[in-house]
Amino acid sequence: MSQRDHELIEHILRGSHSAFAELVDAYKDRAFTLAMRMLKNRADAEEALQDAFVRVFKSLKTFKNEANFSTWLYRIVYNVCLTAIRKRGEHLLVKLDDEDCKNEFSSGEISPLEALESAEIQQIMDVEIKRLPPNYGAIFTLFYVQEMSYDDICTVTGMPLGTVKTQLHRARLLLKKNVERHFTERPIVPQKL
Amino acid sequence: MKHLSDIELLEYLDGENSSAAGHVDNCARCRSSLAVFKKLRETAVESELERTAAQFTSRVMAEVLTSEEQVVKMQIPHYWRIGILLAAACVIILVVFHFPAAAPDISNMKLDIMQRTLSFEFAPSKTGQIVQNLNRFFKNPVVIMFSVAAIVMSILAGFERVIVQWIKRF
Repeated sequence: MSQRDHELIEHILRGSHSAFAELVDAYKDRAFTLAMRMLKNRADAEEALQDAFVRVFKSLKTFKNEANFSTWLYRIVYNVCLTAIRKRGEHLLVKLDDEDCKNEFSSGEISPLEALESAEIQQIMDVEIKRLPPNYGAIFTLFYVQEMSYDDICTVTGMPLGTVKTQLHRARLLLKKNVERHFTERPIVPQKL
Repeated sequence: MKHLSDIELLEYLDGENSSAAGHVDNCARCRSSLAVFKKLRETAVESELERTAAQFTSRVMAEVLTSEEQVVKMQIPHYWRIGILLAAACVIILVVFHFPAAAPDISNMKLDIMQRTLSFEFAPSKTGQIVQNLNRFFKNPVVIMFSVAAIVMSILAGFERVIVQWIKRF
């Protein structure tokens, strides 16, 4: 845990509201990204995140300082989002078979790497990451955006290591396939220099 | 030559399948596939964070303050009830056990042998006894101190959070 987080938590426990506001500011966008990847809806994600931060404030006394604050926070956010998904009656897990992750470039005219070098790749990736199913989106975000280790992802999601690895692999394969689809359905227009 | 599967390449990329290094060095196709995954990873890391609404932090803080006020509101009656019940229980115990009910007053009994009369005052009525006991009870300095202490304690307990917050503010 960072020294600043530690100091802020100490201040919050002594009753400082401004310290809590600073902590919210520090983590809100990363936590919101996780909530968005799971709930796919801005209003729902903000509501869930607000609920999560209030829970954090109320239960900060029980937080053990030796643990990583961000891991603890994301676990609360993940669980709040999970509850919201269940309330909607949706399923978190989306089953994919090998066919879903099959390479799209087998009959394409351009190489995958060529396609990935295109100027619009970042935009396409952003769109496709948002479209990942909630379970894959959450694990993918924790791994790449929050830069968490497998162990920390297991702590956040409560899933065993094998499941986390499998879901991350499948998320990346699905993402690759969906990105490739953008280039196989229409030709790439060369960029003018 | 058997090529590495996507899963094996991803494991290698995550630093978990070092045995694949030799194959990747000698296989152009697997190197190319690996380059695709590397590029995807780089792009994923650079993907933009979602941004909350501008007033998000203020809304969270308002919610936090509301939840704190609710806790205070819920706690005051709870502490009050306990304090008042304790004080009332103490008063009842003292009245019942410390001050016995008034007996016939024999201190003013008069015996007149010449007149062959015995005169004494009757004890006061039931209501009178209670009033008399209460009167004596509340004049007792120990009881007065105890009651005042109980009331002050129950007030302090009831407003504990309010007082703590007020102190913190200054």
